[in-house]
Amino acid sequence: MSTDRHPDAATPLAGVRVIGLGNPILTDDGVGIYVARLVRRLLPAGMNVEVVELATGGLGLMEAMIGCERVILIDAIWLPEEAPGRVLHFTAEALPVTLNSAAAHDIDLPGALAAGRRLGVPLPTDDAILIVAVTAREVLTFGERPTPPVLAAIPQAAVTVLEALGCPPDAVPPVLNESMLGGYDDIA
Amino acid sequence: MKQITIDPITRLEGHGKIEIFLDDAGEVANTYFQVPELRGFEVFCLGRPAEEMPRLTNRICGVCPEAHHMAAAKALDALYHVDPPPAGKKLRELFYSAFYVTDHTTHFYALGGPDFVVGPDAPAAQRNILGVIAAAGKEAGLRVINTRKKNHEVIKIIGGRAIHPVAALPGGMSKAINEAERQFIEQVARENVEFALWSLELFDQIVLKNSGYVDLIVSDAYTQKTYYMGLLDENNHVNFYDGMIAVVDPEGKMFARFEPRDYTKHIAEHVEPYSYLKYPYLKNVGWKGFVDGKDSGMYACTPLSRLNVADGMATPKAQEAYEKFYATLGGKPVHHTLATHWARLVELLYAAERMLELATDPEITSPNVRKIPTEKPDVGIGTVEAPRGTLTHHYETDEKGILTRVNLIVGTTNNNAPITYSIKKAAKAMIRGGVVNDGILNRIEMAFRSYDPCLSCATHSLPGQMPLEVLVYDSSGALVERRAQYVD
Repeated sequence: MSTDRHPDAATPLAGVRVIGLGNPILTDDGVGIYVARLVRRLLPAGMNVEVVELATGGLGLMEAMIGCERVILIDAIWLPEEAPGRVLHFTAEALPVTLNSAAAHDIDLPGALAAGRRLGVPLPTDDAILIVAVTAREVLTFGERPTPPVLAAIPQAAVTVLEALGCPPDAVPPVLNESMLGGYDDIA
Repeated sequence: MKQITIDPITRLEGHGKIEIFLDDAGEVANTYFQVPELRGFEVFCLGRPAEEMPRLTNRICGVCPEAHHMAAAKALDALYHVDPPPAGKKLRELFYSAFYVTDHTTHFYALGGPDFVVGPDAPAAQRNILGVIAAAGKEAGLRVINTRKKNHEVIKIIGGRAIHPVAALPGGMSKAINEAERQFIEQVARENVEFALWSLELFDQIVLKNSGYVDLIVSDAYTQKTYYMGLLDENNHVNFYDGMIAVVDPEGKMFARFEPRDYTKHIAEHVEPYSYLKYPYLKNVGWKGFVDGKDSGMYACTPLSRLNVADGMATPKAQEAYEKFYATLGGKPVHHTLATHWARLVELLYAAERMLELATDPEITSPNVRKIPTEKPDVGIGTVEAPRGTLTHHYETDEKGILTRVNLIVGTTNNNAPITYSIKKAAKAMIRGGVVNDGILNRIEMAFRSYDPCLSCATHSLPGQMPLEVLVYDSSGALVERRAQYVD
């Protein structure tokens, strides 16, 4: 292999990727996955947007962004002072720069992005990474559905993503149908 | 008494917490290691068809779903009394070898290795992969990214998906690989061997040639004499996918060797009121608390443990690395916890070489990768070596295959007692006279990190709090000092 240049370094950034992040068997932690599924279902035909589901953060998440001009990341966010079910959105510029090695298993997203950029990996800029987050509470309890307030926030979170993609929001149904969420193992 | 709390709250790691209690003189009185409660996984599984388990259990961990996928598939083989055909077993092991390469690579370069490559006293913001790139050059980072990428492609080809594999079923695999896929996998395996050798050379240059680091590795603060556990093949070589569970005593003598299905005859679990995670120990030695030595049933199952248990490695270059490991560290068994990082690189080389052996095996593209089960299910126990320790899945079902009992003993649970002991020993050595700083706390965490622990399984909430908090309480319990590490 070439040792001074990432193999994709010369590839121009292109396309939009929506990444639903979370674990669909950890109650509220699965909300990013369910919002992504709803977005996939409601995307107008012909839109060149890739919707993927992912269960890893850090390096794995950074690798999932390689080559994209723009990324919308959907995830649960644990803010104990906030009520569960609030939809927030901010860009990666607003993520806390933790660069921690305290995590026994992974570095955080800002650290992974910084490492990737240092190596010349083609990645979107921080202001092109939009994070749509739903405040969550039950993230350590096994369950295949989010708690009611988080479940109720899924349509609004999907609207937020669709608006960010430039789609009209009126396609979102006012009442979420359980069949729209799918099972834990329904990764497309 | 002062209380110091190290509380890393971060992606994938849940809420692991290290608490250190100081006495009035500022010496360490006691330490506690707690992990988050993941409530009710066994109950969550009961009533489901057992064949869901390879796909369901790989969801409990965002770090090593492949290990759960394999342990579950092996448990289902036993449950349905079906022996996969040779090509099915080889394909599983090929898949598992690629996973090992990615996992050990990530731990060494992004997580544990920075303590050495960058240095234990470097600022926290540098002790990560960025610091490794700065210290070891861009080549290291590019090789890591490239190795992860290509092996994830291999995992996807064989396992059906890159993150949560689906291909392993009771009786074998759902699909074979074709010649073009085999050729790609062979090429990746060759690059893996080169990468593993390069990594060992890097370790040699940066760590072994630094007498300060070697002194740190062999220092008493990071030394503990426990029993060691690991899977062995029929030649007493390390095997990640299959074999007998072997245990050696602190002097390196074989203490027990048993089939995974007999684990309950050898392993019991101790419970402490302050932790949700149990403390497995050797039933035939007994629980003596958090103490090392031959009379304590505490055992470890880590890369270092696996090397200590084995007579050697099954592949030639890894065998050479194994011999150098023991020649340098004074023979078997090695009791230095920090040497686990080196052992991990020896295993990385074995995984790469084994992957190449399997990728060039004439049978690997055979379409005969599954034997359809025909027996009624009852009890199934499957064991693999996860990168961070022995992993056992135990299922019981009714005659229709509906789960009535589930028990999982994961690698970090197996290591819970020695992790707790390592933290205590390091803390007692490092904290003197009440002096605590970030460098000292990192050196205590280094003992913990060498185990590559996986505390919770895939808690993905975005970081909304400090990843690391240190809280100091006075003897009345009042908060007198608060530190936050790794946070601007």
